[in-house]
Amino acid sequence: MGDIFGKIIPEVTDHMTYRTYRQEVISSNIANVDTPGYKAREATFEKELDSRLKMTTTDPAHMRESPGRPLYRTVYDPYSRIGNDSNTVDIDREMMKMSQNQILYNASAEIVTRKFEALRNVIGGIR
Amino acid sequence: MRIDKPDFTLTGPFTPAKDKPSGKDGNFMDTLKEAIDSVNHQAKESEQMAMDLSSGRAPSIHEAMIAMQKTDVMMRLMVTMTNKLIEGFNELKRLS
Amino acid sequence: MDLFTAMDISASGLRAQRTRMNVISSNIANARTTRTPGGGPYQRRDVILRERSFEEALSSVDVQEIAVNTTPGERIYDPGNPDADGQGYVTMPNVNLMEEMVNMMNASRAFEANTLAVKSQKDMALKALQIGR
Repeated sequence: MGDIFGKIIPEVTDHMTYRTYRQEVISSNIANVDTPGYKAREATFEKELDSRLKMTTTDPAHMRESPGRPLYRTVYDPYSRIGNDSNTVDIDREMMKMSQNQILYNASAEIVTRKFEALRNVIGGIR
Repeated sequence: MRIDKPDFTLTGPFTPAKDKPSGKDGNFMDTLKEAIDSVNHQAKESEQMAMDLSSGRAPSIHEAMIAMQKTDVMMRLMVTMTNKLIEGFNELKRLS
Repeated sequence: MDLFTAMDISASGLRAQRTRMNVISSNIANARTTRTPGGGPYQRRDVILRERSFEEALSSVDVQEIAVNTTPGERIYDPGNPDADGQGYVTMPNVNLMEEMVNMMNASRAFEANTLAVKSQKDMALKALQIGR
């Protein structure tokens, strides 16, 4: 009976889980903006790898796989640059990532809500 | 992110004609029981997730909320199907 | 694995930057303090931050220590000063006001960023609670 939900709901749920995790990673970067030697991270979703991130992930030294989260890889952000104290966090970039992440998370929540609404309309209510 | 058209195909235990030989007695009752069990299972699961969220034990907010919505939809479906069933039986009674 | 962890991480960032701002304030306030209870001029404090890794790639931040910077400050010829030595020189605190002002701006900005992070996480959580509404 669970099949009535199709592919969309499980997939969007996964997206939201990824966005939650990515928010944690971005928060780590922002908290450590002034920590000497800290390297900025980025969480990647398998299907969304862009070519530059792909290059970075092939180097095992740079890649950490998160246990229990086989869909994501956390890599050192290739778009970051070395600054003082060999800290690579660019606060402006992190703020941009965070805004984008939040918007997409909210969008997923909206999509899932609409989908449930549509299902309820088709099925009819409690009589 | 691609947004697909809504997928309303009912598959699984609610299409007995597909995977079970037709004309078998009690077939539909088995199907119904399976459906009730799966709704029950979903309801228990989402209740657990809601309690985990409420107590702060395993706070994955979106998963708990989505599970609760799933339960809601499945129960509505269950009620609709049961009503149709009853209507059908009443129809049959009238005809015989 | 959730937004609350993200909030904890941001909270550690807020604490660290707040400490920095307090220490920088102390440095600025004492930029001209030539006499301290321990004798000698005020010495600048530096906040040393350290990453605290707790999950595969997640880290909060800690204040490792508030270190006293022992580099001697400038010696100024000012024989009229009650703290002048035999030759009429006063050793000033090793505080560079320009540098401290810039540090203050950075710490303030970083503090702000962590605040925005918390807002963002809260917004996401509340949005998730609206699913199905």
